[in-house]
Amino acid sequence: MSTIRAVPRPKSEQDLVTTSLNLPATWLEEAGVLAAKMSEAVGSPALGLQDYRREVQMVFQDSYASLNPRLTVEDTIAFGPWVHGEGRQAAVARAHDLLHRVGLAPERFAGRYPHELSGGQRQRVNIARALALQPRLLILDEAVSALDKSVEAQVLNLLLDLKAEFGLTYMFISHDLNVVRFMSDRVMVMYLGKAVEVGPSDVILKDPRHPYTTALLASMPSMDPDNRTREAPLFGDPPNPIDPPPGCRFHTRCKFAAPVCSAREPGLGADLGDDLVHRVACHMADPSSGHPGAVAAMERA
Amino acid sequence: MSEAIVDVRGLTVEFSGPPPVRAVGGVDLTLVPGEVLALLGESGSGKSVTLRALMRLLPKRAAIGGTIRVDARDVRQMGAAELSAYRGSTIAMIFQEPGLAFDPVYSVGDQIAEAVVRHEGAAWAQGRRRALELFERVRIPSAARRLDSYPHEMSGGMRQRAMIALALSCRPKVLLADEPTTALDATVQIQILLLLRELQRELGLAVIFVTHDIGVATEIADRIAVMYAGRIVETGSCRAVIRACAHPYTQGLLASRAGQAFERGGRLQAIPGAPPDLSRLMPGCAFAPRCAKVRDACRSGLPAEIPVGAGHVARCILLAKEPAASLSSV
Repeated sequence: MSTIRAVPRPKSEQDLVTTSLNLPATWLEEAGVLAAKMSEAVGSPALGLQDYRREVQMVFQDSYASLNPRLTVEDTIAFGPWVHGEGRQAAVARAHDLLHRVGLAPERFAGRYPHELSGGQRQRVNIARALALQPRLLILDEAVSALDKSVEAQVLNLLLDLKAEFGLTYMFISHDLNVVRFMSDRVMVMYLGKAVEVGPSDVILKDPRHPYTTALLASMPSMDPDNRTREAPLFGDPPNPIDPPPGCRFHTRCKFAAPVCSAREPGLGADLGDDLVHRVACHMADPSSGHPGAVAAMERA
Repeated sequence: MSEAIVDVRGLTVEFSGPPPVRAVGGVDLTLVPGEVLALLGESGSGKSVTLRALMRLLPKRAAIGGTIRVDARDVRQMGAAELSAYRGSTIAMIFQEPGLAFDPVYSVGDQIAEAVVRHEGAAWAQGRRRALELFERVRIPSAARRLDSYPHEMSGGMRQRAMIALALSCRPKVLLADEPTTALDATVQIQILLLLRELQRELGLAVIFVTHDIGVATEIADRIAVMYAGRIVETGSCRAVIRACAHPYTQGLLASRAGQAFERGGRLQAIPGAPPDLSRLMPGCAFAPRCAKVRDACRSGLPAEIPVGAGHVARCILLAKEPAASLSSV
């Protein structure tokens, strides 16, 4: 019922933020009742923006810029329920309850302004605000990236607790593969605006099939001083998204690139796995693509 | 062991208030030629301020104390002319955001040539030749054409390569790197780390590399110094600090990052609380309010450096009470 998805991607593709507010309905299939509603177009008469945003809330990367500096913590959290028709007192009571749940004692923190909080505390307020409308889906856009490592661990633990407590679904956008591994059930790997691989996170992180996913995993710094990285898995930077390469967008940096890769764009193919859907947008995964590597891949399977 | 090229003793940096903020509270650092030291710490731990003090890049309202000697010269006593000769030819710096460090209205090649002409009195053509050599050295594709690019025409990774070329243009002995890979994609970050490691070895540079990422420090450093609240709490070889860290703060950081910490379904071992406010530091160990092993004595005096292994020291009073032999050392 409640599934966390993580979307690792290069930092240069931050534009996903805007598109993710108009999620395609298929992304939300596990969210049960929400999925039925979400099959309607967002903003149509059947699913107005206000209704949609009651179900789908977001936590942003910059905990400071995303809070109104002139509202106290209590007012920030109570504002949403109040706008959506709840009485002033009930909204404030909800705010206090949520502050308590995210680990900030209401008697100490309710009256504070954002500048009186630390980064970790501010991100807890943002999470509490996102939960105030009792959404089903929370979009967490690099929500822990700006936090210090010692504080990041606290907030990740909190997010898992809240997910269990409120039965939430998370779409978790991150570039940190360690965090992705810890948080997610399923992963969608993106490159230059396209999904290149999607599947269960333990499968993708152990046995990646797309060359970009493989390179991304191999690019993680080693934690072993006697076994440092010897060779960079990829050369160069991601190309400019204004003028993406033809065919497979990754072919300019892929060591397996064949003529077919620049000629035709691979789609997310058929399921590679047993029960959970694992799909990959690579000609090598498609035996009929004409890629010389496709035959070898088939033999391996 | 050869003579230290960087020797910092009791460095303090205080920004005038209100309230005054003591960003660095007594840092000792030595670096020998050809050595890479990673300064590891969270935001506000004083690592970048320490680096900027070495270059004298701090604003006037920062009061510096202690001694800073680089290449046998007293950096704090330098006058304006000496300082501008010192920057670039003895010590150079690369920054987190190369897009802001370059001047947007001159081509990158001209900016490198200018540095060479200014510092070495070379002819312009010679400066441009050096720029080309350096571009090839840092492996910028089609180097000759790229010299005429403006910073905005380059990708993030290429700009950082150009920044490294600029920093090396006047053959410095010490390279300071302030989170140079933090703003880059993972696949680009590892390329830049490997490039820096290669150049450092070939040129015999001494490097101080500031980072908040233990993985990055492990990839690049010979030695690691862990900073917390303006002080170095633990120093040792990369191996010793990663494998046998002694300070509770380092232990907490590693427990939340290393090995299997991120297995799904588990919980992360987090350090409770947040780093202290540097304008309101309590006496004693700054980590005491967050430390699971805290005792009364931690809050009374500043812990001294206690040796825990060969060239491996930590500032924690708990280490003094236990015999050093019981601690594993590498």
